[in-house]
Amino acid sequence: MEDFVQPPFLVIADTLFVLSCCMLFGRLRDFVCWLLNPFGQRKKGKEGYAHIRDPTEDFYLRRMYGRIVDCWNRPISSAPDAWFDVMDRKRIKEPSGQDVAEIVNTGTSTRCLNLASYNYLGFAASDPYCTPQVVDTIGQLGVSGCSPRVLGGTTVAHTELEDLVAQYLNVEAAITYGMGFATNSSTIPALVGKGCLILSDSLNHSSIVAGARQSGAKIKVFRHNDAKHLDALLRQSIADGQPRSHRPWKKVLVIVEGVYSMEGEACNLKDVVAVSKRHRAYIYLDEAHSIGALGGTGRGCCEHWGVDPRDIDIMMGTFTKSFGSCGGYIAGKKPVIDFLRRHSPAHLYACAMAPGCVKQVTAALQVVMGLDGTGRGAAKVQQLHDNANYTRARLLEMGLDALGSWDSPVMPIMTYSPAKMVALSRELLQRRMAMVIVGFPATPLLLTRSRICISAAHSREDLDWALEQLDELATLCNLRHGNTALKAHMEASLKDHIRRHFGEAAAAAATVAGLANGTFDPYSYRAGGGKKAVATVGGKGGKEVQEKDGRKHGHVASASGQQQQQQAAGSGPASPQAKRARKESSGNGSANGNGVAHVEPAAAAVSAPVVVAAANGVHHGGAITAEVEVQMSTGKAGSGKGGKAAAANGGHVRNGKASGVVANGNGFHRSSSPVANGRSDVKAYIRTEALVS
Amino acid sequence: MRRQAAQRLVAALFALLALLFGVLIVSAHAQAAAGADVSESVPNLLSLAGIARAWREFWAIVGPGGKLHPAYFLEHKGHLVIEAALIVVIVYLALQHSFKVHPRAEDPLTDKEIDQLCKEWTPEPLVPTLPESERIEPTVITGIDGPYVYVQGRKEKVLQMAASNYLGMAADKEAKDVSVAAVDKYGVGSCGPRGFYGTIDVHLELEEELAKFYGTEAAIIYSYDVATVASIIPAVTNRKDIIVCDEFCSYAVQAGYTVSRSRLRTFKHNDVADLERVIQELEAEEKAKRRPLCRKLIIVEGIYANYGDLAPLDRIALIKEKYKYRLMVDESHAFGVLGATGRGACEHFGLKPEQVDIIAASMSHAMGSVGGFCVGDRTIVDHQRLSGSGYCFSASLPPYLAVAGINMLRRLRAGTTPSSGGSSGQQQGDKAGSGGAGEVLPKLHSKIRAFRTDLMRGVPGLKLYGGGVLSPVLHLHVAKPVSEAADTAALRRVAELMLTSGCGGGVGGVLVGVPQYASIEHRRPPPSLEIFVTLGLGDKELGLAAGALRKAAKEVFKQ
Repeated sequence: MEDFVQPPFLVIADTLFVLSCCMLFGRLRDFVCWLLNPFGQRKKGKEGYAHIRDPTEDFYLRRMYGRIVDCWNRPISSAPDAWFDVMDRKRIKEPSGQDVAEIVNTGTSTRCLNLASYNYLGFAASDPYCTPQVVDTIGQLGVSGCSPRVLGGTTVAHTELEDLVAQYLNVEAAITYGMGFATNSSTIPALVGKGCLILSDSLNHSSIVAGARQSGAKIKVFRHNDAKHLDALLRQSIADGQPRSHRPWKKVLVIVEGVYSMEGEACNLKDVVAVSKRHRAYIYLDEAHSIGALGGTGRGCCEHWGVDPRDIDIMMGTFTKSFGSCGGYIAGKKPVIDFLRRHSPAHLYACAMAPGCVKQVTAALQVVMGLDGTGRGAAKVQQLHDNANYTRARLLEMGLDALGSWDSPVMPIMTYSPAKMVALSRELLQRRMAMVIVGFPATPLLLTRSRICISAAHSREDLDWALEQLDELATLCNLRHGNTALKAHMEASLKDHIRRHFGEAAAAAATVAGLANGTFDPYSYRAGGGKKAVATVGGKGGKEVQEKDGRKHGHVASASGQQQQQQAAGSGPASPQAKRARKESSGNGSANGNGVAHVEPAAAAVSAPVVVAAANGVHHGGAITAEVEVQMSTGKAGSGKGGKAAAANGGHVRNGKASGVVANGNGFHRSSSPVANGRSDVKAYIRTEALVS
Repeated sequence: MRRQAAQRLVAALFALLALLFGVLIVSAHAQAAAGADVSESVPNLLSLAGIARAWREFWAIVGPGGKLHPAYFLEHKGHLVIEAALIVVIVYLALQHSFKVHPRAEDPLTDKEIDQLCKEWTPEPLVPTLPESERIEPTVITGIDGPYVYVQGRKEKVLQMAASNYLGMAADKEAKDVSVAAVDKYGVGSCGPRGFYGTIDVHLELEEELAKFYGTEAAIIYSYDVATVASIIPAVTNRKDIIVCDEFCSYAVQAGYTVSRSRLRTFKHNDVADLERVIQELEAEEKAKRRPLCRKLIIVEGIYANYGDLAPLDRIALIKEKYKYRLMVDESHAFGVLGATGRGACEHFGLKPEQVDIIAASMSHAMGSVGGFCVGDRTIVDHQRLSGSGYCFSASLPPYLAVAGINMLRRLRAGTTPSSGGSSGQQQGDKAGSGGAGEVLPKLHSKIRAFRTDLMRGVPGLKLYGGGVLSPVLHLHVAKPVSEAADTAALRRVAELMLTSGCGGGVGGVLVGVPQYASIEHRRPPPSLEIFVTLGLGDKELGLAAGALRKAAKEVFKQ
């Protein structure tokens, strides 16, 4: 993927110029400060103690991060649902060069569209099925177990969840932990140690790095998502044996993630599994962002690629994201899990996961699996995929460099220049949208980005409104890089994706533009499908909750209307009521009080049908209770915008370099051309440095 | 080897050639010199004059100016011979090192060989087979009622003494109520790390409350207890820095220093003299190597989780001041228990908050929640917000657990923690005595003292580690250890008997734990029976527990 995201030359020049100015003047000012007051600096720290921050870090913090500190750590005061309350903050002191800018909360808050939280399946807010169970569990088992699992912290809730996770993932056994980070950082050292080799993807999460370091095993890093490089490294490493002693390795563990959180890219699992199996290396798959989000029934990366989960030796995942709770799990064969129960530090020493959190996961999993007796879970997964693919297609049509695989809920938008990133973040907040921005050192210096996390809780209106705002901002911040290489790659990967999930006929018709303006609907190609949709019976508490919610948080008409509509689509009682709810919402939409006209009746009609194909190709539980034909009204609202975006895109012709890359890479998947490889080498190198230093 | 032989051969050839070359030149000159004297008759070597003439002629050739004189030889390209000889010597010497093994790069394996090697390689199984004796099913709890719990397969309630719910906050009604209210408002998870819209107002409130409680500049919360210390240590030290750590420190500390890759020294458990010795050695080394000033950290635990005794913080603080080391105290088990206001071991030993640089603690003991926190001055806390990996890269604490924490701190200050009760009818949230922590904590302390004194009177086959120290964590070791496996099995048997053989009064038994330690621990503590004394246990319960313990121990150790 990163082969396609090369910043244009001017952007590189601009970014480097700005950064070097910052550095130069920062240093100069520090020097002058020192001249004026040579002893001032020393007073800051205690005499005789080394400063807690090292000088480079300190400089970066004071002179750079200190200016833009308001873009992160923005507090919220409600559940991280589709819309949430972001607390208003005020700068009371400008960055002085010695300290970061000081910001205080003003005490008020603004309702913003949440494009930041990992609330993929929309379980973050209180849920009619989950929340009552959580409340009961807190009453029955207390707030916390106050004890590790092996002493007195194991409750019925824990054993129930572990069984359910194993059943959900279709593996023999599972073990749960109270924190996703600790799951990785304590399991890896329990499994591998001295004399073992860890092959880690260059973009793996910090928790994996921490675990790998703790283990004492030799760590080698392979190029991001490159099975060929993995193969080469594996062959060479096995042939060479351990460094210096040249004894054969005890075991080799290949660690990959299902969806990479900063790239939105799904792991190339099929090839990785094939390579690892061939060389008898063990596979550790971190599904933190992919569990619940990828695959037709939310079973993660394995389902997405059609890989047998029993081929994966260790399946790790978290409950923080899709299931709206906290903690993580390890699943796999029974002997492995039994071993971890005896030797995994987080199981032996850490406090057990809080019973309430455990129950939340159990309940959410039951919904996703359809065990709650409705098709709500399946609808959520499908809504998530629809939302994600629609948004990604629209972003690409706008000419933005939006990365990530199809179906993946994470989509970074490349801003390249840190200044633009900050401008975008502030401007977005002004327009009541919350989005995450990421820059150096979490990404390479020139690959700063802004990240959208899509949720099943978002309605099509939410997204349309957000995309409209983004469209304006793309012009304002000059973000349309018109990366034709990326576009071609995404077009090809869409075809591939549709081919795997919907068949050849759908693939032939699939285009990004069609997806963006609604003229292409993959579900219409499903065998026996037509436009069959399932509205589900069950969630009778749904309406109550949203009404209560609306009342409590003082939603303006537009927000609550939308929510209601989305709820109705996802979990509404039956079609007549659902339709009524929709009608209500579209009526309310135009009369919103917050000055944001983002719900138009026409647009509402587009999003209304949430399609759940009954013949999804994958097993639901026997939970579907009613099937209702829903009329699809397509392409009215979207097409105008699509045209506009295309026109805007046409204006920005990109320099010829990009198409050269396409030629190398065949416009599809990873390229093996030297140019591209050279580039990713640099990136891999940067990450490797981070890993070993 | 063949390569080496070829090199030798070439070298020998060179040498031979050079020699030949030299001989040819010399003989050519000799011939030329001889040719000039052909016309003259050969001197008569028998006469004296003849000898003298021969000598003269000889000297004319060999002496200065003569054609066989070395100077002539050198002037007429003879130096080439010497140079050639020198080159030969050099080449020969250079080749002398050829017996060294050359790196692979010079002689790469062929693809076929690599394939063969890959095929031959057999990995170890991912995990070793676990012996049957180590496969332990933990007791499953089905309900909680004050200091009692219900366990799976048992009808009667049992005493919970395997959980460090020191102040009874986890099962307290008010704590449950505020948690439920928070779940209604915020949902369960926070769905994001602190930096990315995962900061919820209650997190900030809890941090403020903690800072206020400790009287420090700032506080930071983590979402899990083992990740707290394990994140703080790598945030404040790296490979250039020094960590001096008590040898009995728990796994979280070990994980922390392993990841930080700092220079690590350990000192003997609670031995301040040894600490000073280690520091002196380090300082001498620093001085000798003229290293620049680095960050130096002493790490101890307020109450050692795996032993249950206290660190002599007052004396350690003196050392720390003397040598200008930073002091980090893991107050996990001491927070909310020790000290007049519950600030932990530091307060117990009369240390002011500013005397300790980093105080870290778990929120899953006295606080009755989950997670961990760290308090200290603003620099240290703010530094962690950017460098603490468990803080930056992990989802934040579920909001309802933060709310439970806030509730505990407020009530500890107001003295309305669930008061100790009698045997039954717990007076949950007794608000009558609002004399601050000053009333609650002495009660807890007296219970700890009473129970410890009781056990010190003797338990068959077991001995209490630490004796009468004021610590709610009790570790009972086997008095006459046999082997780790045998002792663990015996202790497990004791725990099992305590749980299953009822102790009367409607109480089905006592739930206590036998801690297990991972194979990756750097130093495994001896097997022990772990018992927690909590505020909810009345005198009657403590008596029952001691009785059950003695009975079970007597049966197992057959004294």
